[in-house]
Amino acid sequence: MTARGRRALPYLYLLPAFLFFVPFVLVPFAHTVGLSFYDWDGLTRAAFTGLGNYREAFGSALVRSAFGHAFVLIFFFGVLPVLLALPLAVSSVNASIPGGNALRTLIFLPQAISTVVVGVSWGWILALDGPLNAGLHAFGLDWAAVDWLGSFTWALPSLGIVGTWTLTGLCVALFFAGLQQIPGSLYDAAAVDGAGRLREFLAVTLPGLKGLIAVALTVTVISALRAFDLVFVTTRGGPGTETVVPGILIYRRAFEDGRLGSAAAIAVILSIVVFAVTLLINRIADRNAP
Amino acid sequence: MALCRAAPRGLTAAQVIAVISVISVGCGPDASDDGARSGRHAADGDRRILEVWTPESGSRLQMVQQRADQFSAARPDVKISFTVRDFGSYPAQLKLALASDSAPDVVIGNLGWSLDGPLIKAGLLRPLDPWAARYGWDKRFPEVAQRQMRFTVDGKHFGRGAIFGIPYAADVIGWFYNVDKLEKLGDGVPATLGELESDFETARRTGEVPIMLGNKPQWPGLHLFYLVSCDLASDREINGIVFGDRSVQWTDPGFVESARMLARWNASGYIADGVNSMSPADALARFVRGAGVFLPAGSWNAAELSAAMGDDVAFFLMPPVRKGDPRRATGSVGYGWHITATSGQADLAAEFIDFMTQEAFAIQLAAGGDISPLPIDDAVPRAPSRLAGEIFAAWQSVLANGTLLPYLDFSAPNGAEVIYPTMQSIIAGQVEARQGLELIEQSRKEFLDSQ
Repeated sequence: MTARGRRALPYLYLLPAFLFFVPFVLVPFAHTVGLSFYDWDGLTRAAFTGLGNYREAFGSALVRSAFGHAFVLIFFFGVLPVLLALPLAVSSVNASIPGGNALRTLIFLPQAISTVVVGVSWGWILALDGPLNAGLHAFGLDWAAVDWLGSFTWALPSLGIVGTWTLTGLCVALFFAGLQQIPGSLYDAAAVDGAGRLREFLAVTLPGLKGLIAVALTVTVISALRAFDLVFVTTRGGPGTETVVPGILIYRRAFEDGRLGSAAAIAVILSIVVFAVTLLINRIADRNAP
Repeated sequence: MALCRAAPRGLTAAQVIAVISVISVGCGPDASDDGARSGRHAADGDRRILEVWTPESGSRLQMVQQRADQFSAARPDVKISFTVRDFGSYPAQLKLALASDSAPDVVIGNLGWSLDGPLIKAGLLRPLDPWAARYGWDKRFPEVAQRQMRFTVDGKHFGRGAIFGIPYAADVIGWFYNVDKLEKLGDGVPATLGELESDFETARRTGEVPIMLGNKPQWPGLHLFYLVSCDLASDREINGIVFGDRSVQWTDPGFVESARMLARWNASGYIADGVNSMSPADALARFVRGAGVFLPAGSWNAAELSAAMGDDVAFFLMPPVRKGDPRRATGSVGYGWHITATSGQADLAAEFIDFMTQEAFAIQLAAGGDISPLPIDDAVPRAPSRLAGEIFAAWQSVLANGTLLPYLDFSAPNGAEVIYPTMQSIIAGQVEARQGLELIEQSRKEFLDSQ
């Protein structure tokens, strides 16, 4: 093979994916970026507004609060599932309990259910007269039974918990796979050095899982930032504007209000935030790589 | 390696991207839709085809299609081809269809800025004045309905200018009530706002839910606001907000008082628990099962309610502040029939529209339990249920008295983003009424400025 052929080879491998990536991702994205500089209702001639849509977006309290809500969801969709999944995965990999595989499947199951089904089910669970509140009443905790999804205080955290429930299983599955890649000799060495359970976790398990934690955070954080379907099915952004997220604004402006340029600008900002956050996660993971 | 040599040498990455871009652009919204054939030269054998779009459903769709069949029977040389799309996605789909090369001939729109405004602005609909004069459309409908049919030809002002849509059906917001429960409260059907409020209080004290409402999608709260503002705001204020009169604002006293009243009702426990997480369908189902004395809602719920409750459900319009004053109500003459700008058979389209909006069809609608923009003398005895009869009588009184008021959210296209959520926050007491209305007014002003 010639030197030129060798250089071309990796690109050739990329070509099939690229053939799909260009028309279905790159071109539409470029189209969206272009649209974001125009004032367009989808019908009449678009008027060039330069950065007008971006100025409007940054100046709008509603748009800012939508991104604020998305960052709250990052905690519930990303941070919390990772914190919960670590001990779950570590304890289940060591313990050989009967039905362990079935248990792991169960934990992963929410990930396999369509978000719309998850939303409808949780809407029922969290209803004022739903099973959650029935349980609270049964324990005499009447004061704790609130209209979860209709409450200006609790609607966003409630959606967050639904996200935690959905994504914890994914993190457990990832970490479980990662744990089996850590050489047993490292644990033996740690034991010889007299490490306790906690020490062993901090010195062997955690560094061994670093890459997968980054993967889990990347996937979950992206799903928090682009959350739309769950919100659309359960609260539609309400009550008030308490659960409005960027995806809801993009949908409304593009398909209901006929403000495609503004919707495109928010979409571009959202994409940039997603890029930035995932880059940050991976940078941190790389820097701390063993 | 064989793979390597198989790569076409001359093809650069830029060329590949260019080719793919062309392919993907071909799949964009400009590409022709599946079912929509060109209405301009459409023909089926010897018959001319009139392409018609509608978002109607249920019994109203049935009645519209039956009426269209009668048109075809009278004009055997014409075939009516319906395209029915669900109400939610209709605006987006209709915009694409009308902007395409194969636009239909006749379409149902939607009042105000959500659909008609943008379509007229884009020059996709025709002014109907020439046919209005020929068929007498400009005189057929009551004055109060006429205004909702008009738009300026540049699409910038609603409520004046040319006639763009011809209405055929109507809707009105009022109070449904549980006949048994109201009887037990002991004061009869409320004749004033004060009596209505005291019914709420009595109901609450006896452990009933006074107002059953599902405000999860946020617009039902505004319907409650329509009811109260019919009493507390003036005609000038309400019409001014809707038809772009800048001397009127959402922060005018009538609206502030209305908003405060709703917040007070909620704080007093008159509105159902869980209102903000309940869908309108759930609220209706609960009302049918006997929860709630009053259900504030639109006339389009009548068929479902009377089917489920028979004569146990009845209807009245918002009672006035002073006993005996004419009742005012928020409602509309529904969506109008439009002729598209590109239709090559506009005269035929106008003939069809005329047939679909005649008194004969209004009578058919009344017999089907629906209401229309035309006064009909013996509509009430024709009505299929007590409820339908009450709604028809109420509607006729509004037409006769000229006390029909337009939906306030026709004022700007961003109801879902600003008006509905803000009103929900006001009712819940999260935002002070005046502050919330200032926010709504600000967005209306921005919209008017952008026109």
